[in-house]
Amino acid sequence: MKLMYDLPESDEAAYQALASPSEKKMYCLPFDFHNGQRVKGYMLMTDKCLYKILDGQILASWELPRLHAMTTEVMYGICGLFAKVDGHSTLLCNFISGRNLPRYSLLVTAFDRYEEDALTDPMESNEPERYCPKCGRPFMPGTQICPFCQSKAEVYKKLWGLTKGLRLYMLFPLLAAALSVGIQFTLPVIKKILINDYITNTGIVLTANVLAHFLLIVGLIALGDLFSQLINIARSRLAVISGGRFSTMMRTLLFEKVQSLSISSISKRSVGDLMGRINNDVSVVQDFMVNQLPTYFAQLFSFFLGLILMLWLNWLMCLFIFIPLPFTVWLISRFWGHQHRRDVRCWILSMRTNRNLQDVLSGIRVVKTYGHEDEAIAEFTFHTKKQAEKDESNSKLYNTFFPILAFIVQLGNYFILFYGYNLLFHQEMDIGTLDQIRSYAGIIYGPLIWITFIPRNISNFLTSVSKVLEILEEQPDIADIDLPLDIRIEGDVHIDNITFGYDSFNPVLKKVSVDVKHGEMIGIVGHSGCGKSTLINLIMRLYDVNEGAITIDGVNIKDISQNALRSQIGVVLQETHLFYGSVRDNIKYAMPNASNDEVVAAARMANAHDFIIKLPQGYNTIIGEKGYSLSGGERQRIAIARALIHNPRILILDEATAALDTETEKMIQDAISKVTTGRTTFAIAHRLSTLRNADKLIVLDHGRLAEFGTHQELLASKGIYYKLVMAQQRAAAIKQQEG
Amino acid sequence: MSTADKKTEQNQEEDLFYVRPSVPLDSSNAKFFLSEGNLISMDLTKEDGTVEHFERVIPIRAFPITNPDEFICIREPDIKDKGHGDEIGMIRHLTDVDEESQKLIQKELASRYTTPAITKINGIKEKFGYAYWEVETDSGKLSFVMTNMYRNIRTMEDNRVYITDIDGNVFTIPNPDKLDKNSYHRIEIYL
Repeated sequence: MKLMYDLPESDEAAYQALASPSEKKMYCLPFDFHNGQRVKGYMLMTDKCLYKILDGQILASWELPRLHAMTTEVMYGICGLFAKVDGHSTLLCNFISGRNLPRYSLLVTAFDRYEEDALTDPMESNEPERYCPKCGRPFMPGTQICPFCQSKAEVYKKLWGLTKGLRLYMLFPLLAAALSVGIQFTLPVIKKILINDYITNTGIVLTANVLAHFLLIVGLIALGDLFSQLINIARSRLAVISGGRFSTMMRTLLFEKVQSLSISSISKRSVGDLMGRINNDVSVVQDFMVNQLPTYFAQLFSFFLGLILMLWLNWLMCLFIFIPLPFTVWLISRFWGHQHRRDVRCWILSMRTNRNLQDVLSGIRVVKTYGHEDEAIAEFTFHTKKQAEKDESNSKLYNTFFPILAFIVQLGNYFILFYGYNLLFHQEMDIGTLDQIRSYAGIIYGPLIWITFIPRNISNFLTSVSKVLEILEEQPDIADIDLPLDIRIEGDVHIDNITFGYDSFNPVLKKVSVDVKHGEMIGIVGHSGCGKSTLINLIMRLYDVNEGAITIDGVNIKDISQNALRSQIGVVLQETHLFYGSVRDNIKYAMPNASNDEVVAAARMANAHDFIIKLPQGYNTIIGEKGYSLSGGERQRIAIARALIHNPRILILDEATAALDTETEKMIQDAISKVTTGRTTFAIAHRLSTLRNADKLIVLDHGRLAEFGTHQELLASKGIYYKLVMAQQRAAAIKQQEG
Repeated sequence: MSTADKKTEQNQEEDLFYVRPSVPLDSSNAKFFLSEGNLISMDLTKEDGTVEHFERVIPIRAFPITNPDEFICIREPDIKDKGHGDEIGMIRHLTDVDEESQKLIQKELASRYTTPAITKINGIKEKFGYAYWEVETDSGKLSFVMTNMYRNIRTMEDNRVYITDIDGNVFTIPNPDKLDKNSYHRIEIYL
């Protein structure tokens, strides 16, 4: 993300006039709102001063020591940068929301650091820039692609690289297309002979020779038709083969890539987006490469072939065909332009109907319990009626104008006929040639009606290609070092002064240090959003820390191979995702070669064996999406068994018992106390009672380590932990009273 | 544990669960004035007659679209160390406070709620599924990019149109029927 914009000349001059020569520019950010108008101004922070510069004028300047408590505030459609100037709250500048908020947040962080110690070198941001540096337009969301500035040649080149091994398959459809065009153009020549020699020639005498010639001609026509059909069959079959291979290859590549990326690069995108790229975008690319491209090629080929042939046959007649062409194309594009607008309108209305339908159907219980059926019916009727009306008028118009258009497009034919018969009459042309020219005209005019779709298809294709390529080219940001260590983990975890934020300008954890001996159970507590889950994400190395280090048994986790690390950590999350498959398969997930003995042992340890055995097919019962439905507690215990199967040295429980009733919690509690012995355990729990067995507790507050110690120590110190315990006891007491 | 200890403990607990009660504000208990930093300061007269001074308060509309001049919340600003600012009170209708205060609040609201009103649409160019708009508004000429046109263009009951761009900025067309013919033609299909 850019944090140092270049000042325009006049602004730079104004700054130079005011600043002292030793001043050093630190950050220069644009602000774009002033006195109710959009403007292009700059906030320039140096090591001494903050300047507000607009149109060659310094609107204001504040020496840094006069400023305190700088913050950004998000308002409606606009944001503000505020600070206390000499103790009075003041608005420093306004800027437009999305574009610059991350930049200003970073400026605030930089200023905080300046207030804390001293201003060091300007901070860098590893946030991806969201706006094209060339044209300033936004990139396509979630990508680094600017549809205006991307080099098309480069995209084609990269695509070419991807087609390795498939090029022969791809070449054939092109060749076939050319061949079938060739036949298309040969047939009229043969027909011409047929017409001139046999149909219009009345003085013909039937001899054996003539009959043979006639049969040859007819045979050639039949053969030509047959051959072109055969080519079509071969072409379609090959298109299916190459298309299938191409998309399989692309999808596999994409999927492998997605699997190799870190959580942080994946979570930048939604599941829907990734699924879209793997499914839809690949289909678009495939369809273009194997279906549309040969078609366009054939059309282009036949256009030029037809042009040359007709010029050669009769240039004047050729003009009759080609002169109205620009007008025809204009007419066609006007028609489709109009039709497109109407189609969009229909599409929007159908989306609204769908949305309404989805809304009401998924909330049907609410609708029924509030007795709102009539309103729901009325609303749905309103939407469908509107859609139907629009559809009707749209279809009527389309069905009226499309035939008219088709008629207009081939108007040139009548000129040909008129002029041709004129020539015929004066015996300057024979009927065969006239028919030949008419056939060519048909071949050329035929695809014309779809010609305006080509640019749109190409641009859709390019977008999809870029989206696919972007994933393929992404560099994994959490990678193993060159020679990663495969250590056998004991379980001493040492967290040394770590700072981390999902966005670098917004640290979630600040300077946290904790020392954990192997076999200890550590509870992590704090308000929601204080960084609990983040801390365990870092221990699992789903993300890399920004500053500081995490070591296990004295080895930095960055030096341990990810495989070795994760195979020795067991995780139970609040959201237990069970895959479609049997109970056994799900428990074996972390160790596919586990024996049935081990599966049962893990299930027993997780207090899951008893209920599994009561399932109709025991350990072979199919669960997961659409499988046998288990209760939350049962799912949770299977997840615990899954985490235990490979006997991990480090166990992580992230809110494993939230959302469970007390009785189930008790079962899981027992399971947990059984399984935590001898393992280093990190447990996050909302209910503090879950953590009563914990050896030590980490209390986080706004990303800082607020307290660390045993239950007794923390209660005695009467800090945050004490308050949390009191609050929960109070809530429990109220519940009891009510009960 | 002595009773005194118990009492302080209870106080501590009260502190923990203390949430400032929001009070109805009008000219009788609230006085707003321009702060040193050109923002709004406020004096709140409490029931017991004591006056609480706020260096800076923020007005927020509860119904920014349907009732912009009613239900104005007056809140303390969010401060990093403390987290969210508490609500001090609510003005049922802006005319409930004195004229001076009204003007101040109106001015602050106007600067906090920025929805440029589109007066003319110079062009909507669709490319790659994104629409690139060139418009003229009451805060100058500007361009923005939007996607998902059917979801991000909303027509309210009073015919007012709200357009949300890719950055989450909001633009409005107060009355599409009053646009010039070309501009109207450009957005017609999305309404």
